[in-house]
Amino acid sequence: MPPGDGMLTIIHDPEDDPQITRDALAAHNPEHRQITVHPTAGTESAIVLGADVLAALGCSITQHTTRRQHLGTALHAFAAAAAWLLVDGIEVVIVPRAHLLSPPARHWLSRLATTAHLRVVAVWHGPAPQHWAEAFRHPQHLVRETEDLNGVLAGARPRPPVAHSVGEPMPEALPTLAELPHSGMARFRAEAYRTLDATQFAALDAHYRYGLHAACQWLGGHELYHTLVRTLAPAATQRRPDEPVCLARALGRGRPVPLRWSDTAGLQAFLSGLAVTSPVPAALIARVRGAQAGMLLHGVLLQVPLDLASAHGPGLTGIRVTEQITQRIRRALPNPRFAAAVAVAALTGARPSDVALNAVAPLPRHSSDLVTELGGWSASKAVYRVPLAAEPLLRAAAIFCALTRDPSPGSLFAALHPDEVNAAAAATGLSLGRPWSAGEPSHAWHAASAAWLVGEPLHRTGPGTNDPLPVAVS
Amino acid sequence: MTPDALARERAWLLDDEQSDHYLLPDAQIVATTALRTCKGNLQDVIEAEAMTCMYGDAGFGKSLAVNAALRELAAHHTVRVVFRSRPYPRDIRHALFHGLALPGQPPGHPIEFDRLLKAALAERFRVLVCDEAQWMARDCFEYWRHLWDDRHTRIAIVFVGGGDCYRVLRREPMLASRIYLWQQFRKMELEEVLCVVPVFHAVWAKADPALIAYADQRIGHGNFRKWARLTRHVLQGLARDRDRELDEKVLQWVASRTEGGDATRRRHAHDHPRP
Amino acid sequence: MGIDSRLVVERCAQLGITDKEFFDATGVFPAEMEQDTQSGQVSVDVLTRIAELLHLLPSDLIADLPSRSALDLADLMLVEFAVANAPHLHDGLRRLLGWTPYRLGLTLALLRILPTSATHRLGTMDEWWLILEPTEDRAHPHDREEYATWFAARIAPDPFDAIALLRVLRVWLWQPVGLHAAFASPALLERLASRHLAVAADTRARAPRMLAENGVEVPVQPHPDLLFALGLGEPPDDTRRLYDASQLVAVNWPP
Repeated sequence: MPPGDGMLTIIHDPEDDPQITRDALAAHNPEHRQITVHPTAGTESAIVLGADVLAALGCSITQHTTRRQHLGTALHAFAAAAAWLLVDGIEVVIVPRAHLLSPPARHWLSRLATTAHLRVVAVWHGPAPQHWAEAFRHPQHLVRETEDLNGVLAGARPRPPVAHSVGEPMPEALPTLAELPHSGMARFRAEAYRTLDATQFAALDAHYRYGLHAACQWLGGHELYHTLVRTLAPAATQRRPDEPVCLARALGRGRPVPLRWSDTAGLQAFLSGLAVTSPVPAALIARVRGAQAGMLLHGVLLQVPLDLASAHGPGLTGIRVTEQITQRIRRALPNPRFAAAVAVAALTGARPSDVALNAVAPLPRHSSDLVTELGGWSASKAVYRVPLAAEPLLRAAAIFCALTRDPSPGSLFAALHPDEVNAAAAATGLSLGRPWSAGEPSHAWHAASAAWLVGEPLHRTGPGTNDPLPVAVS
Repeated sequence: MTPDALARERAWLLDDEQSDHYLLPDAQIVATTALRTCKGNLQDVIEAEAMTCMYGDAGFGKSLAVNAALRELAAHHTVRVVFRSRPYPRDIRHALFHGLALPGQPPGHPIEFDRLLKAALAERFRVLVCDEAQWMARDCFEYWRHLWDDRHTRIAIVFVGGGDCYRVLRREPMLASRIYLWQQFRKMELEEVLCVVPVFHAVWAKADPALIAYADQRIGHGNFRKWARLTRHVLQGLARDRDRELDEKVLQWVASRTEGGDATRRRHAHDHPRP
Repeated sequence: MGIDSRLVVERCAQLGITDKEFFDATGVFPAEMEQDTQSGQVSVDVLTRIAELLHLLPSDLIADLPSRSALDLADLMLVEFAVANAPHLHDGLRRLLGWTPYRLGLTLALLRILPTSATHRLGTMDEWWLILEPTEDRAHPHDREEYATWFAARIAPDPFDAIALLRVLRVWLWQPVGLHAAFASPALLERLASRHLAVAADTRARAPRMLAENGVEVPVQPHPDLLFALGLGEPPDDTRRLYDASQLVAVNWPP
């Protein structure tokens, strides 16, 4: 029977052979989707067993975390455990010393198997009860007994490698710049060339070109863009080939442009996507300027807030959410809801306390775009591209809310108090970007951006994948 | 008394030699058979990072032998905990916390506490001596097992106990399957007494073996603690009368002090054993 | 304060902004603008929101010289105080006051128009530059600094600038140099030039009579900095031509 099926397998070890316990403990291997939970000795508490599962998943369990993160009931402790087990793809949970667990603890273990769709291997080191199914309150047809622990654990499969976005270049670190041009798109690259030395310019220009290329790719693959461009074609062919271009006439009434870009969500996802791999705010600004240039080459005007360096939002006031950052968050915050709240603060650049004050919808099943009131422009919602590393935290939070029957399923963090989220962020020890000042606008930079189709693309029509920019001259 | 205060009172590092509880001034630790065996056994246990149990009635030198052996084998790696009444796992945690001299306050959550202890016990090899082990119940033994079974801790555990210790540990399958070796401490036979006592204290160095045999048969009974007490009384008696030499009368005087009850009847029974 | 409500209404129509959207963003309805401004109801704060929504410069909205009593005096006094006490502030001025760029831009624009206080003089070089000079008794050579508003340095083209710009770019890219050019009115060239989008073209081409009679006679070409930004021109001060327009191809177009 395949793993992940809610099966309860009992390993009966009446002689309490230390080798079996040793093998059970040695079988702990999260990379192969199985973990071993070594129950805390001297307690019959189901809450502590739930916390033991969290500890086996790498969470730091202290008196403070269980209290401050609302993990003081068996329901919440096991819900947190189930959420993490599901997003981590764990298929087998091995529990030695199961004979010492209290009946309620054994029942919670049974529920964990069905809730998290995994197999529980319980090692019973004493005389067998009359009915295993009764001892664990587990469905009879999902219980089997054996003495062969190694046979049960054979066939553990490794986790699939983490998917990377196809074609995404590794983000280059940016050396500390002498100064960052504050110009708009028209002057940014030239000013950078004038003010920075060759090494710094090359590093900054790499991000500029990244943004330009990303914009070209995004528009090139966007159906709305092609639809809009097709509407321009008839107007362009009406001009006689030898007629001088008349700007005044071009600006007269009845012209088809500018056409407002209506896919606001898509635009915000694209812009916040530029921030996902950006190492520092200066890199993000360069990427945005590059994206503006790339879009203009395609006949699209991208407008962003004037003073990006002082703006808030992804890539400017948050931090890049990497695997390392999410591991650090998970370790400090065993409650998935708190972990996700801090991750959202990091990727949106919002204040941690604001995360609790604004509706943040669960991540849709097949999407990496977070929709939230956080940082929205003029009472609208904002869309944020979620880094791959942060997705499991958000999904775990949604699972946790469902398992604990959260009354506000549409908003992941409605049950949290702003002070709690602040404390959670502090507990991770992460410095979440530039703090906000009173009076600064609360919208995120990308939510205040807009785009218009303003003309036909400057590219020739036809297939091709060449980067229009020349190789940088050293 | 809070667990923490109790632990601070009870847990200490391996004692200074002089505080081994029945050593007298000018007395020597004698390499009895039991002590030599104990040292050899502990060497094997340390090598195997195993569990062991040293048991026997009170006064047969278990704690002294273990302490003396560990002073030679693992002086800077030993932590000793002892409880005078039934402890709970949290008492063991606190005793180890202080015994390992960990900084700060003991954690409040058992998972956090165990993580801290296991991390400390994984840093380098240690011998954990649990004295008076007969007081502990199943949950305490399970706690010791929990520490020992952990993949990363590097410990050997020495249970030392009198009275029912053997029976208590033996009936736990979890311990029975993990105890690497058992050593029982018995009373010394006369032959060993005659070898050991003259070396133990100078007052016996030139004593007639028949006198030593009489003392053992009357008071010592092959029990080192009784011999220590007997020796102390002999020294006190001789100190009061400097012209007095060590003889049977002195021993009778000691017996009258140490036996209590109807000493005359016992003396008569001793002098005139029934056929 | 005289606000060009006709411009506001026309702009909303051009950008497809409904009355409701306008109200949600600014708190006033377009049709009520004139009434509100004459009664002094429209504050600097609202004006900046309108400018931001319509992607206009704040100064574009001002039709008449405002009467001082209708203004948000607190804003002006704050700026005067900040400038008088720390004349070397640059970007820090905005952060110090905690204002949006639009709000400060509008306030500075108003200061340019209004009589100034005795503590400083304001001078302008053109629409986009402000020079703040301390009065002589406080003047130190190292305190004299030239200020550029962020608009001049940072402004992006608005949609109508971009439409014109694309035409200029297309002509520059696809027409052989010297035979044809794009032509603009002097006002449009000034606008595009101030935003570093275009410059007067170095060409002997003359505008057709039809255009010249309507004042559209100045040949224009893309600003070199813009060409470099788009990867279509050389780095500043570098004469090497890095890119040939004939090599332009589309990226990831569907077949």
